[in-house]
Formats: sequence, C-alpha cells, structure tokens
Amino acid sequence: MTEHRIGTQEEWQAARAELLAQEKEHTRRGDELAAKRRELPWVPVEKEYTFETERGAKTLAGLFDGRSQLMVYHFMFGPDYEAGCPVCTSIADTLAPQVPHLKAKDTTLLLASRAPLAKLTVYKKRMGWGIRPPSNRTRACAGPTRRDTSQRALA
Amino acid sequence: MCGTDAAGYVAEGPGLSVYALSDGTVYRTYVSTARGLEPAMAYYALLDRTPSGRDESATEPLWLRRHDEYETS
Repeated sequence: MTEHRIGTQEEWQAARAELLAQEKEHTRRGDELAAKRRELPWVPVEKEYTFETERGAKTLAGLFDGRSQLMVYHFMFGPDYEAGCPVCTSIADTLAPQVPHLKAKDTTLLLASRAPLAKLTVYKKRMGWGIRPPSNRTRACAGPTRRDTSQRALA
Repeated sequence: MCGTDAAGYVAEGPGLSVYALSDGTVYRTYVSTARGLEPAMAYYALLDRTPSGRDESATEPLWLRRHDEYETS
C-alpha cells in the first residue's frame, strides 16, 4: 500500500490547476532569463587557441565551421581517463541529436576534451555520437571553457 | 565512475561556453557550469515529472551510468 497522499479526481484537478499556474510563471521567468542571457556583454577572446579535430588543427574561429554561433561543451575526459565522465556522457547523449537543429539556427555544437584525439574518437564511436570532438591542446584552465567562479555562482 | 580515477575526475570540470563570430573576431557570450548544465540533461527534466523524481541522494551512489553500462535497457 502506498504511503503517498490519495485524492479524488476533483482534488487532483484543483491541485493541478494551482501547480499549472506556478509552472506557467516558471516558464515566463525562464523567458526573461533567456533575454538577459542574450543581453550579456560580448568579451573578445584575445588568446590564440588551437584544437586538434577529426578534420585537422583548427583555431577557435575555425571551429565555427562557417556559422556565426559556436557552442562548446567541455567534456570531462582527461588525458589519463580510460573512458569519459559518466555524467558528461549522459549530457552528450542529450546533445548529439541536437546538432542538425542547432545548425539550422546558424550554431555549431562541439565537445572539447583534454584527452588525445585518438582516445576521444574511439569513445565517440562506442557511444554512437556524431559530434566531432576536438582535443584542446591548451591546458584545462587556460581553455576557452575554463571554469569561471562568477559564472559558477550564477549556475 | 569506472574509467576515471578520483584524482583525474576532480582535475576536470564540465562547462558550456558560447561564442559569437563577428567580422573575424570571436567573442565569448555565455558560460555555465554545475546545475547550469541541466538543460543538457534531458532525463532530469523528464524524471522531475515522475513520482520518484531524480532520486538523487547525498549518501547513495549515483544511479546514472553510461548508456551501454546499464544491466538492463
């Protein structure tokens, strides 16, 4: 026997209606936050980064692949890992099928890791992803996806 | 966390960075980490609509596995 509160259909309808109002408020608040994200100032990237990719060495600008927007997920696969981080792997499972949709909106999506490209390519094949994983030649904290404590606090 | 040792695991951090390319200049426009990455964890948003939820615990091991490492699928 469940220990959860049991109610009638009418009780459920009333509670659901109240929750729906809060869900809608949450949605609208999300729209406001998205607008604020788009209003953030743009910061020029001064440092020259080089990435090893399956299509040769690329600069950060080269990773855009002809599009105007670039999204890079820093995937936890350190040089000594035998396999990618399980949580990052589940995230990449979500991201991989989004690539064609994002391309349609002028956006390139890539995974970047510190492990050698050969390791990443083998793991990508194991997981069945189509995202090209570039290997960042620069070290972790110097990379374009470096951890930013001010951003972290907002997360 | 098989495939990653503890030291190697904590040496890395996940993050999502967004850049814009305009007139040949690359600009960083957005960065997020930690729970800011949840939009890329679709299963959490779905499980948030189930009775048991995400079933995360500070004491129990994480249930999440690589998709080819679950005992049943």
